[in-house]
Amino acid sequence: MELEEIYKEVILEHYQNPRNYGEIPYAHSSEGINPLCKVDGENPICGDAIYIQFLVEDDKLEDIKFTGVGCAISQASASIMTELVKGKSIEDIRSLIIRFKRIMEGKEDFTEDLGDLLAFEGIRRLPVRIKCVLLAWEVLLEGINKISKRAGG
Amino acid sequence: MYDVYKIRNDFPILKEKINGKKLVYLDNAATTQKPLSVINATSDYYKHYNANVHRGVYTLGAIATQEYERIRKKVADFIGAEESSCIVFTKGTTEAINLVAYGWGRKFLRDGDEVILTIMEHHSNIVPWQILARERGIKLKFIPLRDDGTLDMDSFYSSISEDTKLISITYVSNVLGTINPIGEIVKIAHNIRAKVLIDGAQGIPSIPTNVKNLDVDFLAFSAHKMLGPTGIGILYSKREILEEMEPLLGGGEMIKRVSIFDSIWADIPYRFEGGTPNIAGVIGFGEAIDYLNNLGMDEVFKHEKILTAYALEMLSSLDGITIYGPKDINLRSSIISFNYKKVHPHDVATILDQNGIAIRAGHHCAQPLHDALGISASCRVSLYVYNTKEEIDCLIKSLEKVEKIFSYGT
Ligand SMILES: Cc1ncc(COP(=O)(O)O)c(C=O)c1O
Repeated sequence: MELEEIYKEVILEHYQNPRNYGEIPYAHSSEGINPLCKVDGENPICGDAIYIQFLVEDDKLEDIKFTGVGCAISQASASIMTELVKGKSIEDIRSLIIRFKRIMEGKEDFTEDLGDLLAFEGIRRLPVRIKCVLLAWEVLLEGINKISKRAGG
Repeated sequence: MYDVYKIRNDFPILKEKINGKKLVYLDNAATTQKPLSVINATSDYYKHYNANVHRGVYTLGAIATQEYERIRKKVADFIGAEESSCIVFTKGTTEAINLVAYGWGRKFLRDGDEVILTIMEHHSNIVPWQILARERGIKLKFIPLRDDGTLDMDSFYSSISEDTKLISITYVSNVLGTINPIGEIVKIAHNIRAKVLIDGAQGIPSIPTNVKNLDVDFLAFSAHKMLGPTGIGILYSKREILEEMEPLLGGGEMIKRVSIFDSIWADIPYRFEGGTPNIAGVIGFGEAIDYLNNLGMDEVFKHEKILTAYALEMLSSLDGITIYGPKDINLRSSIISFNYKKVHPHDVATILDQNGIAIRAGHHCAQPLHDALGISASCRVSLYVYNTKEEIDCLIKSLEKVEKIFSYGT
């Protein structure tokens, strides 16, 4: 496989200029009503870490930010993910995460509507790196499961 | 004359293609490749004299036992041990260190006793002592490093006390390549009547060593890091120490006499080898030692030095790279860890892998050391008997590609 198929420009660009990087100022969330949800995920094997904060209002993800340390693939994936999920409904986000996981695991195919996520197509052939792509997605899924439970859903 | 190209012919795996490229194997600190003689020796055992050891009355069992014991003697000679009874077969360095922690530490260490470790230890020389500390209330002290990646001997001198009962330290750091001053440490330890355990996993494969001259009390190492099979390792200790130690595993092979409520342990070293051992592993290890002896450990050491000096020089010429560990080639072995300022080690390893080059990326089971260095992971290149300058050139060329890919947008 050519290296350019793994380290696509989109990935390098997001790695160097991550979107939605940082923390949501606490003041923006009116605690009690729209509490800030924080979730952390680490891959103990490689030490990659992703910390996500997000705000939900009326079942919609209003804001999301992440920080983390790790390889270009895990950090770029987190950056692209935050762009894709911001403003979407929790249910849409949940199905996107589940679908993208299935795609990376080779159970479904990439489709054109996936936009920047298409950059990860080459990595599907590197079994050891798939978990890097999925780390942020797993963390966000854990986060939205947590708030669904909290809402009694 | 050391002919690395001839040596390479003895290693079938070096002809493999990885991702369409010739394999360049630079992860020897994790495990080394095996020469055909080792591979054949293990299969010959299964083909021609497979039987359990120390049991059968029949001829086949006697042959297997004789071979197994012959190799114990070979291991003893390889490290200059006085007798083969001082050689215990384990499944690796990890088990050997655990055997000391449980068989010796649990019996002799008390609340308030101190065990001295260093910040550069592999997890297998940290965790067993943490477990014992929880159980026994012993105190662990960690010797830090100087800026050049060598052990801070001043801190070592000020850390020891009359409560120090054991100094357990790696021969060679599996990250920095630092060779520790074992001789000096043993002398200090014995002055205060403390014992010394050497984690030889990275040292024994590369440095000619004589345990008698060094006067170490325990030495642990793994066959698979020195051309031998996986699942076999050694604990060496002095007869008088082993005689006082308790077994780790109770069962077959390790007893003299069993009655329903009590048993009498077998003599050393069998007391520590409960259960059917890894016989094929031992047989293969014997061949690995023969192979190294034929090369000559002095020659192996010299080859690694020359290659390491070359690798260090070439790596230093790259932009944006930080190399860890001593700059002085005399203070280090053939393990070199480094980082790029803006590229994560896993990305480096993935890019090299696409060119057939195998290096390690991660914390290499030495998280406290990485914490001390203020990093979470590093890239590690480790060289052995069959590596060449051409392979280093190939590494450097691929690293230039890493730089190129990650200079995107700048
Ligand atoms: C310094 C050191 N100690 C201990 C070990 C553990 O060896 P093993 O996994 O063979 O038990 C290693 C190998 O990774 C090592 O490098």
